[in-house]
Amino acid sequence: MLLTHLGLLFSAAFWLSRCFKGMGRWFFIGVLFFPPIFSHSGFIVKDVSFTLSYLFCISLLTFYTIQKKPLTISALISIFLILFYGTAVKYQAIFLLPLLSFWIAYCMNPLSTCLKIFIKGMGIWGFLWGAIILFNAWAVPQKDHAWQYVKLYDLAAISLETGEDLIPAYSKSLHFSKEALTINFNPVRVDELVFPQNALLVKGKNDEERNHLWHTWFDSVLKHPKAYLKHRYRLSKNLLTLSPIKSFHKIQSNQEAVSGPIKKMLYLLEDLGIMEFLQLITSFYIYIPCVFLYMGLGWFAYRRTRTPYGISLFMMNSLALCPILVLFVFSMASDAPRYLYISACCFHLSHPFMLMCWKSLRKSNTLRVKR
Amino acid sequence: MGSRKITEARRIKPLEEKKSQCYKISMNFNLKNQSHVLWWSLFSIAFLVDLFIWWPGILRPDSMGQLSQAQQGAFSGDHHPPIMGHVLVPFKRNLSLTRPHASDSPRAFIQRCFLVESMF
Repeated sequence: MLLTHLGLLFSAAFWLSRCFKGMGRWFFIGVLFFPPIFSHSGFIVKDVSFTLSYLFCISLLTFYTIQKKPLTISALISIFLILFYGTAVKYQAIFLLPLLSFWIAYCMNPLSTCLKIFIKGMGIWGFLWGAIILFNAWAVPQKDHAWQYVKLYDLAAISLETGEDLIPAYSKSLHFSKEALTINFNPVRVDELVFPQNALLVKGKNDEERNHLWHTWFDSVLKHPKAYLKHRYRLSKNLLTLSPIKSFHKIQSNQEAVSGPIKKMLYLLEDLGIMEFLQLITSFYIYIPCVFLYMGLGWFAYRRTRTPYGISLFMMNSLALCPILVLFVFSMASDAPRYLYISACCFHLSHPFMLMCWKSLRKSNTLRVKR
Repeated sequence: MGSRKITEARRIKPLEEKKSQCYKISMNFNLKNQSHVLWWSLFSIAFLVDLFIWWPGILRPDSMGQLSQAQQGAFSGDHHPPIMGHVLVPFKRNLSLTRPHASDSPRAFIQRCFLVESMF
């Protein structure tokens, strides 16, 4: 499985490096060991599977965009297969699929009109979405409607913020009380409220309860938008500031599992401030202004000089931003930085594209101030 | 006549520039090109180093749960997508060993640096 993951990561780096001459190619070897990308490449989890599958598809699409060649049948089949796996492995991936579908439609024939690309893109999106729904229905005939956890978590947060009891009666377990809710509510994840045996909140058991829960949530958000946004902002902020590297000093449990010399070296690294530096560069929040900047630059470069690097830069950074927006609405936990692994990979792999866009703008004299 | 030549040249030049920008950047493996050989050697070494550091991969409790669900053939609802479990089953023999290295090797050190999140 690790071989598959690393195969996807290195294939992505290979296809991206084929878009450059000279120094650009060497960048894609070094960047694989850059902490934000390297730190999760050894994990076997669905978030990494999703990220690396998407990254492979992005790299192939980038290659064909830069070459200005229509996608070959073999490339199209491999993109569809890997995209199917990448989307099926993580539910939130479905929200990123439209962006990639439109990009695939563009790469199938770069000279098509916008309308044709839009129709083709919608078709690809519908086809893949349908295939995933059918697969999931076949694999898991009985659904447990896990989306309700997010709504219950939001309702609990709004209730605590406003002091108003918004949680429907059927979602309260026997252990529920206002005091218990205050004690067990964790601002970074829903787990303590819904997963323990003596959970305070339970999901709706039938369609009627589920529909009611959804409407209760919707009305509560409209009634208390400030409390809802505050809760969501807190969750997103925590996710963005997280780093996969934790301070060794602060961890109390399980320290005996680490052998003596390694523990000494880790303490030394902390004392030298290296771990702090690694934590800083692996948190995504410091890159957010750059993501917007890169998107703007990509768009501007494409509009002014028609450079294909502009399309790739814009798309890669849109795909970096999209998960943040999706998680702002749908996340029920923000305790693992791997949720934003795709954002980190897309952003850091787009640096050479930014340089190419900058170069093409300078070459076309667009950036020169007229006197 | 002269002005016609100039306009034609103006028309052709950007096209050539575009072609050179778009079609000549593809890199194919060429044994005679030292830079290509060096790039491929480094790329292969990087892959092997990455594989060596992380082998056999680090499983999270989430993935363990998905694997056990797939092994039993009973997925408990739609909390985790089922495909990951199905993909993990063929690798279960290898994955049961998956955990950070406990030795004093450099590999263990690098893993510890990046895996503190998963270990504690």
